[in-house]
Amino acid sequence: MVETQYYIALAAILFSIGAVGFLTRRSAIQMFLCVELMLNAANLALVAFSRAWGDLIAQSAVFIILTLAAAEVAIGLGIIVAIFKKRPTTNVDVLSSLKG
Amino acid sequence: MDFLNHNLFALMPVLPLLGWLVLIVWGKNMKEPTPGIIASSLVFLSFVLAIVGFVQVSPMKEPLLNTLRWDFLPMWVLEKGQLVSKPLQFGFALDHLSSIMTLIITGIGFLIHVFAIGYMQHDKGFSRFFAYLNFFIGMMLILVLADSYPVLFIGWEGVGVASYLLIGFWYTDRKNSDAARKAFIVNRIGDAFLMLGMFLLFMTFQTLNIHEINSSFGSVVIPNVTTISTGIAYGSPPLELAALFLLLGAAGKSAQLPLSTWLPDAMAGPTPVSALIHAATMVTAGVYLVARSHGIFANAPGASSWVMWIGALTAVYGALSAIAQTDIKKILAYSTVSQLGYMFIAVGSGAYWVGIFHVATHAFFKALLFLSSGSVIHALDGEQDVRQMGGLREKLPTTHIVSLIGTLAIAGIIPLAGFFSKDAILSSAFTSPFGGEFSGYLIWAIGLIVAFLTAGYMWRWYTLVFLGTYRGHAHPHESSSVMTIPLWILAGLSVVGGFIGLPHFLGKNVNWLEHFLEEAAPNAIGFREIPIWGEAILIALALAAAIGGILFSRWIIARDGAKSAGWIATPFGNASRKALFLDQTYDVAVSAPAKFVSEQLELADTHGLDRGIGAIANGTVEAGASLSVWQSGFVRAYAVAVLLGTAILVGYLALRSFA
Repeated sequence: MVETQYYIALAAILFSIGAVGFLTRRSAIQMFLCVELMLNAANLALVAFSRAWGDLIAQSAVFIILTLAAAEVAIGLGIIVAIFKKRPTTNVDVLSSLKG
Repeated sequence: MDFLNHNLFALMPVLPLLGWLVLIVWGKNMKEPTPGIIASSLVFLSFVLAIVGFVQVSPMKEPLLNTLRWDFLPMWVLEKGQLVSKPLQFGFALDHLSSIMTLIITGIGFLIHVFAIGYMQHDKGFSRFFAYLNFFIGMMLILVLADSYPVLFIGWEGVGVASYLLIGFWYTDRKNSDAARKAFIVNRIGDAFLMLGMFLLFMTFQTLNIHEINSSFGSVVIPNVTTISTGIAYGSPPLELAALFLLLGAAGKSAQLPLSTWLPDAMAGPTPVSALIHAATMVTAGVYLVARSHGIFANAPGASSWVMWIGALTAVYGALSAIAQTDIKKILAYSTVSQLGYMFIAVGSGAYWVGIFHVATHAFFKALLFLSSGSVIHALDGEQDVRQMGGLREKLPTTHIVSLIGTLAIAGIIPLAGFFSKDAILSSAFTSPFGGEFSGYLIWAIGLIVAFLTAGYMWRWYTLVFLGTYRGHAHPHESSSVMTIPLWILAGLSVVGGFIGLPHFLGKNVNWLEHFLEEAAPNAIGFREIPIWGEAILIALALAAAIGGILFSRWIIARDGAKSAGWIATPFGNASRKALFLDQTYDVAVSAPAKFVSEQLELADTHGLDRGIGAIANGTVEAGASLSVWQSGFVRAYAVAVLLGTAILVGYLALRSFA
């Protein structure tokens, strides 16, 4: 049996990749993928802790998060497509018309 | 049948209001002269009902009340220390006084409607004009038939609205709509006082029913001794004050000083309107109000002498202002102001039938004179300046004859209508129980001077319009018969109208009108007796004043020539033409201070209030703007912020759990 700390380390690595990717990428779709990566890193951590504690509540929470993520993907991609139809680019640095 | 007997007369105001409704909804699509015929025939039906009502009510002692009535104003009165609901009913009452008024309103109203069919031809607003006229007749009938003050007030306000609409009938001309507004606003001042009077009456009498208030005084009131059934004593303060409030209300509607300035401007309306509303009917509503409230005024000697004095001052003011006017209608307008002053003298003196007598005769000859000047204006294509007239005797023979009759009638030449009513006014002022002997004699003397002036300015009016040679440039033509027939009828009435109120020295029971009104508007108690020969002397003096006025006017015009129109160039002529500077006085005393105050208020508003509010709003906006810097528009900046925030939070929690 693999020790819990390895799972947590993997989750941390995944989260960091997501966070760094989110901060460095300019394309809306790539940023979106990074957000998903961070989300699933959190899921992995939850499942790992669940197993470590022998408690299924966290696992069921993960299922809920997965369905929520699916819905969120649908909406998020919809928004990106809508922006792309209006604007020539999905570069988020250019999309700043709500700037204060 | 009994139902019909009691409620038929209540149809009188309904019919013209129906006509108004029909004409305002469908009138636009009707061809000339259909709206005029509809309106005239409805008023004629009302006139028939007025005659029926007159026949019904003549033998009765009590007023005829309609049975079809409903609760209209919720009211509570104190009875034995408890509030009892006693709602006021919307109801009409026909008695001898209101019967006379309905005859005048519908009769003269009908003639003027017919005249207007000719006068208003080819006017774009033909149907609108008749709709308004019908509305006016309906409201005026509500006013005179009302059996309580609030119902009277509905009619009172309704005729005010009709007057406003008709003065500003040609509203595209700024001058006309200004005149309409002026009339409305000045009337509003009087109306406010009328309402105060009503409140006070309700406090004092616990009712607003006119007949209940009048009969609560009992039939005989002896000065200084009597307390009346309601406990209100002769001349007690609430009574005097209520009467004064009613007087101010009446002064607004009847263009008495100091609220007289709107009536001359009201001549901006079409001439039939001037004849109907601003000479024959609406402006006499104030006189009617005083006569209607005879119980109150007969027991308020102070207020009654005020009525007399306001009437006397207005009479002389109007007559002096009429002398040097150059507008054919303005002369008549100031004459109306002056004659209304006469009526106020009469009702103030306590001889209420005399006031109504002059209302009737004045309605005849002043409607006649106004319609005649309408006929002249119509013939001269809208010319109103008497200096551009003259010599119309040959060109407008009918108009000339009826105008001469009207002039002699208003001047008070025997045996025309004005002679009898003016004489009755003068002798009632001479013998009045109110204000003391000296005041009565003084008012009589003023009245005599006004009689002299009246004959003078009316003869000037007649001379400048009809005698001499024509000075204008139009091509006068006599009006059509739809206009001349009403003129003939009114001329006939101006000749015989005076015989309803013959003076006493001709016999005990010759005065039909006084006898007729002795139930509905009995004289106040305490008129001084004067011998028969004294009365005859008063009459002779009044007649001499009238003839003297005519001769004086002839002499002045012969001396100065018709073109100068007499006195025009003199300082007196200037003052007269500007109506003794009353408008200017109002400008200086009321308008200018009001304007000053409102300008200061505007400054306070724009510089004080607006700035304060502006500062608050600007501060809020600036505070928001300084925060909006954070809304940079860079998604990654937000992400960094979230990340850092989370890191700090997690770090803090971790440190805390270790510590």
